[in-house]
Amino acid sequence: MSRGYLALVLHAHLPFVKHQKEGELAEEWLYEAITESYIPLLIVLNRLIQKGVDYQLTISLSPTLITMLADPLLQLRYKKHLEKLIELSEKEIDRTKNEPQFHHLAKMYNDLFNKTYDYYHIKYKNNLLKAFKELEETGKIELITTCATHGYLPLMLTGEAINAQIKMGIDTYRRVFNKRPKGLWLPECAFKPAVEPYLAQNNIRYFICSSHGLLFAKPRPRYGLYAPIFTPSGIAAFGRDTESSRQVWSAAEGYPGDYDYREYYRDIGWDLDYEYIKDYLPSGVRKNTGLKYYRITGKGNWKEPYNPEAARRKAAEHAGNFMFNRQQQVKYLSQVMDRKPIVVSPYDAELFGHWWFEGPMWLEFLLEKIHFDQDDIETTTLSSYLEKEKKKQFAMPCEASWGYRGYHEVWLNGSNDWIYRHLHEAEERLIKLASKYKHLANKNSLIYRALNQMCRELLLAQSSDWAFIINARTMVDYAVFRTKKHLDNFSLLAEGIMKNQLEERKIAELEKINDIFPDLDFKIYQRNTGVKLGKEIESGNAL
Amino acid sequence: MEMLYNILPVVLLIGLLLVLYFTSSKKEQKDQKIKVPIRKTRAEYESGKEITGVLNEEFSREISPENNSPWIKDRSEPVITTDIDLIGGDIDLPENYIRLFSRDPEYLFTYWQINKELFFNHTFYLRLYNLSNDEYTDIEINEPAGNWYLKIEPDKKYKIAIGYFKKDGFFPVATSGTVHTPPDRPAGIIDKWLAELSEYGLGIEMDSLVISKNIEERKK
Repeated sequence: MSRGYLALVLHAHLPFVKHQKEGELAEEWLYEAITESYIPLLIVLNRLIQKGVDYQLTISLSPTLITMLADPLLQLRYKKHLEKLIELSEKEIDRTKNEPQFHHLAKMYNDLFNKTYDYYHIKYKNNLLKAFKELEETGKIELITTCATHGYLPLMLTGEAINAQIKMGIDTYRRVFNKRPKGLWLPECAFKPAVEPYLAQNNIRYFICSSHGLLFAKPRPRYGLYAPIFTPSGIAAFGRDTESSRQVWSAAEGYPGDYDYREYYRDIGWDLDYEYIKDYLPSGVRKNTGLKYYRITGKGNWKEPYNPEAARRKAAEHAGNFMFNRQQQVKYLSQVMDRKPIVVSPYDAELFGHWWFEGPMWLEFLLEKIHFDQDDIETTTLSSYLEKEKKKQFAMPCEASWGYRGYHEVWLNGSNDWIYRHLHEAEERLIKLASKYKHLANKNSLIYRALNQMCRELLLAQSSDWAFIINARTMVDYAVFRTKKHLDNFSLLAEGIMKNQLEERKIAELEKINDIFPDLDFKIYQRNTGVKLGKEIESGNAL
Repeated sequence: MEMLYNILPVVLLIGLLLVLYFTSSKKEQKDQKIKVPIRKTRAEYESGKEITGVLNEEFSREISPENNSPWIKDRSEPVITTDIDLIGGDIDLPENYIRLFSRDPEYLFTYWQINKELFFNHTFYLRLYNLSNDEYTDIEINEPAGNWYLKIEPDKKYKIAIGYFKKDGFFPVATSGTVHTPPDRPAGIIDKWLAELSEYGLGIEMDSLVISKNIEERKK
């Protein structure tokens, strides 16, 4: 009998980065995440089953990511990308034959990429969603999703916009997995009480908030972060555990910064002679290839070659440390609580493998150790916890996010606040048009198609990623471009409708470029849903 | 002096009764807070007020296809959907507005739009109402900023208006919805009331609307 639960939650998300020209702009984000995070995680999670390890884990796949993973064009492009990567690693084996410290690493990457290729192309015929689905069918993982384009809900103006983000997220999930997700990952764990009715309206059974989002709930949660609370509509809200988050996340004290681990920032895409590497850089611009030969080594610029064996030992050690800390936490909590405590540890899936190369390995060690070495903690998915522990307290989480300083500052400051005025104007315009054309029935008419495409453009403009990137000051131009481009497309269509100047050619072009949410119907923006809509929703913490 | 001694017990008694009365009514309120939640209180945070003020009449006008378009007369008839018939009608957005959002427990973010001519003919002010203590602060807008961060207190209700002064006082051109700023510490309200989903005959598979309805029912 365990004394408590550990709920690991991996949130996999990328904004919609499909572009017409192959390999253009940010498409490599998807390629990198597939090679370095999604496939390694899938391989680890399957291998654990083969080893007879009983584990439970929650994985959130964002609708934009689901769309890209299911996209035949991107699937083919990724396959080509992977073939190039294998070719590069072969060239590297040859180039490094007189450098023993790098030669074995080139072989390691070559082996890794070949296995990735087998998994991706031979086993799953380019469709990773099938792999996730199969894994869920084993009962080891629970798949959930998030809002349509990872929109930042508390900074939206209207209930319709919030509702559409939630609803289109669920619809995308349903189209692929043939069922409703029980839980919803709130983009950036950003919540405010005014969002809650829309979660209820869409039958969401649970979500995760930031630590203080739960701790500052009203009334005060009796068990702090270690039991979920019920919102007024009966939705369970889990709080992110601070201690376990810090151990994995923190750049300063977290595991990923260990000197034995692989250095992310030293990539042969930057280090090697341009003439040699240029064929493997999309559009010939220097960037990461994924082949990295150094370990973090220390704080300075001096880097030593990566030693996979030492890194592996460290990952095992860190997994042991993580488990030990959770055991202590659960032992202590179970003394003061009248039920089994749950420690909820949500992470970005891309941290594992992409940023923290040894992350998937760490996860494998951790789940193995939890299964074989102790009895204090057991892993759980969030829904199976809800089935097990039923007594909960009613309380409303407070407005908060998991961003820097805990509220909305990352997504709302001098660098990015200009976007909201335009996003809100688009929300209003769309709601008005959706109400005006509520009786429009011919789905093939230009107006219907234009309205549907306007919804897609607005949703795409709303991705929390753009405001985040603008704030982070890297790839700012791209994020600004994406925000403006979608809003511009939106305005163009709105004007076309109002002036009766819609061009079929233009609509078709936009439908092709931004082909997401195929079943979307603009009528979701109408003012007629169950909750009282059509007004600016109040910001804040009622109760 | 002696008289004072005589009435002192009476005064004390009255005081005690008053204290008892208030604490008990507070307790009731607290209980209610715990059990209420559901739909009724919902209205409280849905009712963010839209732009008000004389200058914004057109904004509140509902766009209703029934009134201004010939393309639907009887809902039972098939709807005619040639694009041309649907063109026209007013979907203009308001010319003057102000909006308010919480950024964190210390700052509110507001942005506004005012008709240019109007703006340059008057000195405009932001009036920030603290609805928790019925006080307000005026801030002169001396440049065409368009947005502002306002230092505020956590866990309080605010509302903002933009306008100018007339002879008889402040004239708001636009008003925002109400914002309740997030708290920066755990709530003072503590309750020991726990519920079990199964007490309501509920399970995780159930629809949350059904759940909230059942909870509501049970409270009656």
